[in-house]
Amino acid sequence: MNEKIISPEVLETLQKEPVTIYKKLLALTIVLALAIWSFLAINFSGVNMNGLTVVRNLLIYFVNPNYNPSGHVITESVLSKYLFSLEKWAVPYLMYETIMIAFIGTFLGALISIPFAFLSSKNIVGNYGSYVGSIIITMIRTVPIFVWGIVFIRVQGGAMAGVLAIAVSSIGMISKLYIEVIEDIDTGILEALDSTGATTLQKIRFGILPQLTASFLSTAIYRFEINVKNATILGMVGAGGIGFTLIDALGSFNFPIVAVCLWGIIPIVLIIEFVSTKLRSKLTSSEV
Amino acid sequence: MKKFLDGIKKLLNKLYRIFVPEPVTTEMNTVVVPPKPILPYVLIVFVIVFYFAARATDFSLYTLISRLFNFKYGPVSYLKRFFPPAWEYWPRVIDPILETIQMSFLGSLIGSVLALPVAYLASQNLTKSKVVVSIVRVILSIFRTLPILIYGVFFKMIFFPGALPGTIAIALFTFSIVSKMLYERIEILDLGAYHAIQSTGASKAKAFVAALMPEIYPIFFSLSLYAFEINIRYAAILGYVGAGGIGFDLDLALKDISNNDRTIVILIFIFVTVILIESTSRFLRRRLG
Repeated sequence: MNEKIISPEVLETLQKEPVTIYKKLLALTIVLALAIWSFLAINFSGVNMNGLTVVRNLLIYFVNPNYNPSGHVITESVLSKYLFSLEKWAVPYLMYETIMIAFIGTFLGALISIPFAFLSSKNIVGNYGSYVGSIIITMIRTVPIFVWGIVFIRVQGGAMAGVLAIAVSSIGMISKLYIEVIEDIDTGILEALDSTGATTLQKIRFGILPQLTASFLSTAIYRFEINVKNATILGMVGAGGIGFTLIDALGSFNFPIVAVCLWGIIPIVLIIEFVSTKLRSKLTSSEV
Repeated sequence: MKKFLDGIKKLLNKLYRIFVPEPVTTEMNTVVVPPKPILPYVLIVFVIVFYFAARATDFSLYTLISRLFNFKYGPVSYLKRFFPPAWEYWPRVIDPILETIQMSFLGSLIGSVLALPVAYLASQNLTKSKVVVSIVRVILSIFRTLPILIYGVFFKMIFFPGALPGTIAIALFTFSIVSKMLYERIEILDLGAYHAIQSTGASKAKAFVAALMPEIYPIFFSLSLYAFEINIRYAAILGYVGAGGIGFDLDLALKDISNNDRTIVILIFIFVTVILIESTSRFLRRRLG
């Protein structure tokens, strides 16, 4: 009963199958070669034994920031000082500040992106104009965000620097997505409105805006979600928010504070992600 | 006096009609009430949030505009220090850039490869145990929310500063995002062939390899390339915290006043690298379908 019964049609199709083994081997060789070359960059100077202790401690404090191995009498537990208080240096206010930085930053970025995107779309400025626009956008996009942070510290230190850094760094991605939507505008609707005698203002309000607002808002909300994560990092360069406290505590091995900061960041980012996904699915499903 | 009161009544009525739309009587004498508009409420909430946000961030349009265009102390004076760019510096950018590419490639590779089995565990249609699926997804979402720089600092402390912590940070980050994208796509696969092969007596692993791998291969490579595209930009940032790559040199160039003119050179190299890798990645992804 181990006979292999293959019908002639199946056999014929099997033999006609393209021989891709050489292409696959070539691709695999290239990937392996690149991997080996990349591996050479890493000089493994041994594990920092203190580093392992660091990890162990971090995990212990992550689970229980009030862990007190030395048994000293502590007047104020870390949790009550940094997590359960509304002071300006405590986690809740810092997270609030971080989210607000991301909020205004995204708003400004989206606002600036609107004319930018319109001036870089093929249906408005033609192929050459849009090419120039996309080069500018890519140049803005590849500048790392902390560069913008350092540049804008000069305007007004603290939170405003973060706001501007987030605004400028968002222009790249938001403009790119806006351009896609703008280039997809259905001009048939505009012609139809024209034939009913609509004025330009009416054509914009009833023809163009409904097509654009849903996608524009959805993109802005998506970028807001990303910007909240960026804002937590931006605090590192001094732009306000929880980033400074986190990295400072991490660098000075102050694990209880690191743990409390993480307790603040992780749930908030998860909630914002969840809300953002729901809002965006509502926006894109209720098309006009 | 009466005209004044009438005017106020009309204004109040208009205000009311923003929230409660007026019923419309069509020619067939049917009365239609337009749906309740949500926009006014959204706008009000937005303005309130904006007010609090402006207070929290000391946002003041006046300060913003006056300092932005302050040519003596403002950002423009800082940007002027970048010119003329120190073009002769370019040979010294090559090694860090290559290190950035190596870090990003290896990290993306390891992260993607590790993501494949975990995505299997996190797919509801492949893993029968709901407990396992939920636990894996929760762990993945925790890893996804931490910014990559935190991984950079963390691993820099464990392994000494250099390319290794950066590679591991990128691997972990890639792992978290690729596994999510992967299981999202696995869940919409058609499992007919998979179950059919299992019913002939093959083990789950063999059925997986025979039926699902051919479908997953192109998806997997496409996602890995996409991750590589994203990671090359993050790799440039990781150097800032000492995790290897060009971010370190960029940070030096920005902070040290004698080195400010190198910034443009470094940024151009980053720009060219990102464009090259993005174009290659998009080209290959289109070929993969």
